Amino acid sequence: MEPARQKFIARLILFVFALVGAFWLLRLDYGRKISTNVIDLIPVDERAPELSLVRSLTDQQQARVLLLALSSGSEAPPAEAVSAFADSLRRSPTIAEVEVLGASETRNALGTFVFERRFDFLLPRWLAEKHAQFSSTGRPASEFSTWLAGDTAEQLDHFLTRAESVAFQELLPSDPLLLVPSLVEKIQSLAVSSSGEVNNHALVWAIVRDSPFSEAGQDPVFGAIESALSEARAIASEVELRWTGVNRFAAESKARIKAEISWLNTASLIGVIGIACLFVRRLWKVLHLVPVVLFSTLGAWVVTTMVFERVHILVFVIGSLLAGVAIDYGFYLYMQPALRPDEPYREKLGRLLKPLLTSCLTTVIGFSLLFWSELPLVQQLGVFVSAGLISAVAVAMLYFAQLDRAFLETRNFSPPSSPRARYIVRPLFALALIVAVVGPWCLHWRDDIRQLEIPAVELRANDAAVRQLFGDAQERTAYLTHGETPALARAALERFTTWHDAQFPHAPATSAGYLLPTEAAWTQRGTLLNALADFPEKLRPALDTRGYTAESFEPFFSAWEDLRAAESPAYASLFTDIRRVLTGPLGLLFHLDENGGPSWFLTLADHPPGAEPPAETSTFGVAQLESLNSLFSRYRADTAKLSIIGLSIIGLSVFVLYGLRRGVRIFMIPAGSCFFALGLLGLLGQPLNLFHLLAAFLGVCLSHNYAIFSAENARRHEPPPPSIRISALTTGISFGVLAFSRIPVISALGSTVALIVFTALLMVELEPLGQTSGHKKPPAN
Amino acid sequence: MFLRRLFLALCFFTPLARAADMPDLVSPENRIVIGENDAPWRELAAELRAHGNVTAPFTENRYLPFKKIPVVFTGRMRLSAEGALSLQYESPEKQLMLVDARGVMLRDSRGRTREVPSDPRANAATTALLHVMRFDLDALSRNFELYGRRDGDTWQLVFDPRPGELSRVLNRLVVTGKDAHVKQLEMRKSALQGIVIVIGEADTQVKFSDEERREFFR
Repeated sequence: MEPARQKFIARLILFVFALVGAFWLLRLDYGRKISTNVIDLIPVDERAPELSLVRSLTDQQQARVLLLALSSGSEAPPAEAVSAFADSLRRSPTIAEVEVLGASETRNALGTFVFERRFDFLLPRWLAEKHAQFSSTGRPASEFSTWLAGDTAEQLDHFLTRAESVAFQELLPSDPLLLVPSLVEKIQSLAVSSSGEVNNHALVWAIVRDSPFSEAGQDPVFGAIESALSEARAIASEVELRWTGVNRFAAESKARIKAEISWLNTASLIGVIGIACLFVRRLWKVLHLVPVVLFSTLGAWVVTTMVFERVHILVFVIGSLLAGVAIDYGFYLYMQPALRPDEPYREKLGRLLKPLLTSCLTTVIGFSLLFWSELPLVQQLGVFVSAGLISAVAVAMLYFAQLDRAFLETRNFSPPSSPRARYIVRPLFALALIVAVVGPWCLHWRDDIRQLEIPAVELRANDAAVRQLFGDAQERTAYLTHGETPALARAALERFTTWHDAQFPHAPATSAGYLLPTEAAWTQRGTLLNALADFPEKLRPALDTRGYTAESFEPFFSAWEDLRAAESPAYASLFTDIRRVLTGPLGLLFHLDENGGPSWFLTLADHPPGAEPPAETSTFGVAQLESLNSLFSRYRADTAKLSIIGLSIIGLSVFVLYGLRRGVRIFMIPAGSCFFALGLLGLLGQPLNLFHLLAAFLGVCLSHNYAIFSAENARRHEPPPPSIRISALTTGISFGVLAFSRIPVISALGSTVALIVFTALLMVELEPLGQTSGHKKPPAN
Repeated sequence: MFLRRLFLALCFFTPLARAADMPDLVSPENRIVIGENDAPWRELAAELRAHGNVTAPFTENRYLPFKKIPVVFTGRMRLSAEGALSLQYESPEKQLMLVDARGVMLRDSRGRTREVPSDPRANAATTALLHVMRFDLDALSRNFELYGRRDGDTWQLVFDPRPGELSRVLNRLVVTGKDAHVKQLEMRKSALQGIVIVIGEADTQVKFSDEERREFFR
């Protein structure tokens, strides 16, 4: 092909690629496409149902909650100021729901509902329990009314001997069965966490309309809160606000990541330019490598955003390191001198094609395997890097095809060859071998999802303080009970409660689900009511005998007659009613599907996490952090398995392409540097996580390139090509800078890759010196 | 039956019947106006506060409109110098009720502790009760009309909640004493409904051990 035509075709392809890529990226809605939500790292269809539930609970419900505590010096702020604050929030389109905790209207509405509907919601369970107790006495069924009347009077006596009974005095003439006091006792803990004034703070609970991880769920919400505070201060100027919400963390994290990326890139750029100044004779020519990196990144972005509906931002942060791999191909092609002055580009390319394609495709095969990971982040990273590498190698070949002289002259800094060098090098290799063999046995793993974010110490402290005001006890354990239908979920809750009360007798569980009867108790209610036709007649004398004035209980007797005359509502209607009345924080404690689908109840217990509920209770302890961390452990094991398969394929392909002897040398460099790096981390006691593993995989792929690119020179006993040195140093510095990141996982990634890359470079550079024959002088550049 | 009821009424409704005489006490001439005629009461308040930690047996009679006889509780009360009131019930059930600046806490015989959910009205009542315990006349006068009468070494103070939130949860509170000792606390809802706490011989300047503080306070 004519050089002019070759240039034209190369430029045309690059232009079209750039155009199509830019068109695709410009039409994307980045707000929807890119997620900053940590929870998006968990697959939507996570196979463990409890983790799916935790994901849904965390993402859809809890993440949108705002907790706002108003104070006024050492006193609670005036009620008018609190109302103005809440009303202002209610008017904001960014806020879906606002509740002033402990507000008498809400509490009264709930109290009125429970009292008025006590026979629908509370009586069924009471009747079922009493009937079970009666059955255990072995007395004939006809005596049920008499027995129940005596028991009721006795229980009333017992209740009145309790100090707190004074609070229910007004209620008892209407509720001698103690339905409401019993419920209040059962759900006491929930009431504590939704009380209104604690330590002179007025507590306001709100739900954000948009996702706290989206723009709409952040700045506009912060504005609405500011504006609400101004309105409160217009009434009482000394009002102060402390608040917390996931959106605060998300916004802070985003801002910190932006700042982080900015300084990391700057530091990395300075490092790379420094290396280039040191090694490259004509610095400006380095600019020819920029398009290779840019096109590679473009390819990676386009393919990843095409393949995935939603991509996590960490993919781009980690994926930006792709530049370190992509530039290798540019360096290799650009720094190889022509064999003769008139060697055409096609001929030079043909000569370098095998190592170039071997290095690229084996790495791509390795990363492609990550696509089969369960973890979306790892899948996306696999596609991102694979697409980026293919783009990089293709663009490097095309880009240098359209240059008149595709050659970058370098300064030679080869280590001096001396026969005595092997006396230093060999012990060094022996030491490295010991580290590589012994160190990995000292490795230990710690998977912590919090390492994905920059620790926001002040926000965490503020969050803990505000949550404490809202009654979040440290020693509280949360359980989630689920079922295929609301009725099954409620039945499971009953089984769980029985188990829990036996397991933790001094710390009974509390659930909003206790307000709802089980379907079995509901069905039984009608039958038992019929059997208790004469109950009022039996209860009157029973009360009288125990010193009560039976006529005082006329409100109860009247309501009982009304109940027997009324038609029983459908069981499903109870779900609708309970959803309507339990709003605000209490509304987050259960989910009853409107169409009778999967539902759940959250149960709280004031004890530290202990025994896990048995499977038949369909309940699990919701230690969300631990759940997510164990999930990450599982994914780490998955990724490790895929990485080993990927590395095996890479190794195998090297043996097939280069034969056993050269294959062993090529494979030893990446494998050896990887084991050395992991061994060193193990000996230093550094706990590893999923991201160290990904970094090791990335490091192996990079060092694999150096091994292949130096293979030809090694065969000829020549020092490795200078491109490897520059490439490894720039990559090592870029990743080394990441080691200083405040995001723990990025730091882990950077330090691991840098360690592997520098080790591989040393292996490539020192290997010839350690050999008995040494190596020839490097070719002149 | 009638005689039995009459006897019971005479025996147990006596304190309430006496309290029914309160209109005599709640009259303009007995009204305590802070800064005007409160000097003798301030002296009494100072003497009461000077007792430091106090402990005494008590009997609490709860009069209920639907029960013919009151429910009787007995136990030991502890009043700390800081103003926290701990009622250790010994019968009919062992239990503890603590009223302090953080609110109301209940502890049953098995050691299970429950905090009574705070709400604005209950908080107002708790705060008021604590002011009574401390005999903080200035603070009390903001929420109550104060009335007082002395008769020799006995005295009576009436705390009548001012109209508003507090008056919906707290009824008139009558404190009866002799010398510098409180003898009876009485909270009335109606003629048939109320609580009367009769306080026995009090020990003053008591030093609560750490164990006692852990067990009876927080």
